Amino acid sequence: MKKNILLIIFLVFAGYTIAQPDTPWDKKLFKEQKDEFKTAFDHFEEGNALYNGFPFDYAGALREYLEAYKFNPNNSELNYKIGMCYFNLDKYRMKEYFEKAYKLKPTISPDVLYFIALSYHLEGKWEEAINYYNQAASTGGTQKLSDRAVLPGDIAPTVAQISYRRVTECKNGMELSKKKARVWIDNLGPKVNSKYPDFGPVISADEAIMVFTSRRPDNEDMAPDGRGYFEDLYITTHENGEWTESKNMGKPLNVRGQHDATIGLSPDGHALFIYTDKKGNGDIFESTDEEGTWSKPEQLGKTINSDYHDPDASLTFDGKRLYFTSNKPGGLGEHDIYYADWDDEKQRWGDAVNIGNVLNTPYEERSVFIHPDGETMYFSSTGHNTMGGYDLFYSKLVNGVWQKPVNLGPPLNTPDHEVGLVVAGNGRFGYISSYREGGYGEKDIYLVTFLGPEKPPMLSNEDNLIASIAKPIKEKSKEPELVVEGANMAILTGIIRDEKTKQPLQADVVLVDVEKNKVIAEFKSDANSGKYLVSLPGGANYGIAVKKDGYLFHSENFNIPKEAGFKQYKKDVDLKKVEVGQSIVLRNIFYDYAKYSLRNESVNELERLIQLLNDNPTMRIEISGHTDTRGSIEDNQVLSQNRAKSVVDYLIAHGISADRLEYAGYGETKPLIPDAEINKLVSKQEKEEAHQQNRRTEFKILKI
Amino acid sequence: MLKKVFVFASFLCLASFTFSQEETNTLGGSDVDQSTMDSLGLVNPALQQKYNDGIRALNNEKYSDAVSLFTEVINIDNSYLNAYLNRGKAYAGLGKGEEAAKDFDKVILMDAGNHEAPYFKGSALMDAGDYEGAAEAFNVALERKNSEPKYAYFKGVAQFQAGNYDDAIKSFDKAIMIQPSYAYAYNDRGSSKMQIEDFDGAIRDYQNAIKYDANLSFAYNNLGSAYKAKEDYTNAIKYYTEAVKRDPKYYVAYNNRGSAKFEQGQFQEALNDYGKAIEINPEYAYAYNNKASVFIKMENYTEAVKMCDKAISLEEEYLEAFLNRGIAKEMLKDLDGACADWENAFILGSESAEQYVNGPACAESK
Repeated sequence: MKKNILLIIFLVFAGYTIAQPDTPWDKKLFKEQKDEFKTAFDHFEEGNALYNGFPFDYAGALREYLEAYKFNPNNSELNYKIGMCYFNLDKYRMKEYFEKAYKLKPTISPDVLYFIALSYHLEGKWEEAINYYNQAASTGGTQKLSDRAVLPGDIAPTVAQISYRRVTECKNGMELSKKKARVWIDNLGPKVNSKYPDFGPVISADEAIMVFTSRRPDNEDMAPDGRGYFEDLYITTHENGEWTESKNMGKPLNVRGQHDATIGLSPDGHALFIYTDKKGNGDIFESTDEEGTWSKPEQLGKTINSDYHDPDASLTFDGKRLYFTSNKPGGLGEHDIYYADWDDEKQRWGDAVNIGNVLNTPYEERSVFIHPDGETMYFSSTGHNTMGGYDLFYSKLVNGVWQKPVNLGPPLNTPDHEVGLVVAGNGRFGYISSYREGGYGEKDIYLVTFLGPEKPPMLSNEDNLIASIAKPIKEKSKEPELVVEGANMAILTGIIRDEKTKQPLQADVVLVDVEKNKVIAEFKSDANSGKYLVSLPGGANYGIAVKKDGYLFHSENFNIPKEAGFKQYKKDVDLKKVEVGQSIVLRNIFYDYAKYSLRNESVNELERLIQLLNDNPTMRIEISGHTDTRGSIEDNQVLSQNRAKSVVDYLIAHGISADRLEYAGYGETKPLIPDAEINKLVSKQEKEEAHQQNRRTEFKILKI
Repeated sequence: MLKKVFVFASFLCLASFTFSQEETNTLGGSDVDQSTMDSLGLVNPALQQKYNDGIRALNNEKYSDAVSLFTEVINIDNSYLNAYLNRGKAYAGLGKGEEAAKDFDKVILMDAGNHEAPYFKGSALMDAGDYEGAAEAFNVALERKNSEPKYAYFKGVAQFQAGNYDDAIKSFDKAIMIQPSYAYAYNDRGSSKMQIEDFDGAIRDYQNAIKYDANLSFAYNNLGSAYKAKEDYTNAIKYYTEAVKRDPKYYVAYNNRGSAKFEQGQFQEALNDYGKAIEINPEYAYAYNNKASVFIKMENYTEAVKMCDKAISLEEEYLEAFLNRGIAKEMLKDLDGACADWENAFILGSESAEQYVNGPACAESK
């Protein structure tokens, strides 16, 4: 105790003697160092010119101020201004200067305590920050915070208002820090990242393609914002588990002397949304991958782009809705999230609709990203329960209603800004850009691996012992109920080729909601590679038809349950030319169990068949029914015959001449997969799927 | 086998205060045939000698000798019920429950008033793992002597082992009714109540067990566990501490106390307790697994893997250790290793592991 008292006395005394007085730029105080004084004062003055000029040149001002500081480190104004430069350049270095400025002259500025508080806030020292914010609020009061100190989402605040708001953020931070998000954050490495700022990654749903923004010397012009070269778009592809060397995407996407930045990529990777600021207000442009070449970016139109700042966009899996942000008037605050639906008739985006006050706040909402599952939205906000600056949030769409956003928490979020998270279809991986220790310089792109809910370790104890037999009863900790977290969706990828030549084909891929008998979306496969990607959110039975003129269509069926988790299917499709003898399986013709009446869900497939027959008016076909080998041979024969006849009857009823149609029931005589092969399969599910392959309706061209 | 013999020996010990293995008086004299001896109400001296030798062998736990000697007695006099009874005990001592039960059945059948035979039959069936049969046998003993608390008690134990906790509680009620200070019955009724999640009832019973026998370290352990089940970790730690005070070598209580501290987030203290358990019993796999759990919480995954390795080396089908090692390996980014461990845990019956195996980490690993 005595020792402690002595230590306190010593520290107080030491503080008293060490404390320096505020030293003004008064040459009388430096009579012995006239030349040095002059040089230092010149630096100070030069610094002031840059500091007060427009646009502010904080880097230049700081350089001058630090020179002046070497001579006179005890000037309160100089310390304050160095602090302010660092606030704008590197906030993590501002604390010592603001603290010193305050120590030298507590009245140096009404907001000096606010900046000290903010320094602690950024370090995650919540209690110290709250203490300083409260002091700042009482001393700074109703005075306005310097314009140069206003952060995004700070609405014309007084020192007191903004300090109290930051107190709330600190309290959020304290709460959020109790439980860290279970993620790994790994740098994507030097093939992708550079020593220049690399940021704004956007990906296709299957992570095959990533496009991002970088300020590399490839764009030979330096930007006037003093932060290096103009922004250009770069692309990297995921091959054999690794990202390839990133490449400048070149013209027409990148324009010399202009910022070109990524903001979104459609889930299939064929539509790229770009932010370009040509008039000072920033608009959204779209470029599409046409036969392997990116088209010239085109502005999205007036319903999306306004005279205000429109900086973010994200397209839904079906390409029918675009979410974007804008700070145009009429919103709920600064930038808000909006959406617009594609108007098929008018071939343009419909009117923008504000997504509402569950997601939008009076503050900033930015970097919207709609996951390919169609029901999870990620965005950044300075509102909600942010722990400081922009934080990353997600919200789920439940029964058509967006739910209260959830802060993704540390370590993804920090008291500083986190803007932009894109998540792959599998829900396991996401990508962010961040300025972190150990990077390759400035901002880098990082892979975020979402580990899902904590996997609790299990203890082993011996409880409830029975006295007489001294036999322990093994007591296990109860296995907790697991919440399966992550995407409930499937991604279907593959290559579409000519059956005989194996040449890749650009074909239409039509996605149908079988139960609703509704075409959900249409995609095109890549002209050069034949690759296609379709996102299939959980909770629907999908019919997929691949079509190309001169070829028979190909159909597939995928039933994706609501809680299916994530699955990725690869299905290469070899399209058959329209030739006599060719046959295809109609995968989206459905019958009731053991019956032959056609179910309503078959309509889309039948309409395609009718279209094919109408397109080829001399074509004669045979419809055949097939069953699996279970059940009696006679029953299967009758059932298959009746089912084929049902299809023919439908076609006749819909205008196809009966003399163009034949039908046959083959029962179980022509299985696609013989029983001997099925018996070799291991799991019951595999066997069931094989039987399902055998139960089918086919058609064959008899004559063209 | 050792465990079975041990269990039966404990029955014998418990039984000894009512049933002693008494030798018969030797009458001496020359040999006469058995029918003459019977008609005179006399006992054959040779038979007496063998019977007494059998009793000595039984008391000295020389069960094989005892079986031979009693068999010889029965060969001489196949109506000698005590020989059947004691040979049954010797068979039980050898872990031959079926043979033992046959001998006890013989006595039960031939002497409708004998209550020892069903009791020992019950104990033999318990050893053989036939808990429902054992409960029936103890019930016969109780019907024949319903003032004997031990019969009701063991009936309860057998029912507990069979998983019939409500019935077990009724039997322990009966034992306590006959003998209100029956500490074991209180303890075991408490354990039965734990199984049906009547934690407050269990606590009352364990407290009564301690009240009637303040040295029952396992009852303190159980009391700690009851509080742990109620998530009252402070009291749990208090009673586990009482258990180790009474038995400083009670590694089970150290292990359990570690788990209560684990639940309180006192990870270093938990590690100390698990360490103490291991110090007392270096072969105690549970404590290694539990140390691994602490290391996982402390994000020291390398140590967690080492502890699980040790636990699995001691108990090769150790579900929890496989599960935990998988968790630690995942955090070390060894997804292949993690998924292989979860696969093992899944095979051993872990539902969590099944989810992990089918989860995104293992999909990535594949």
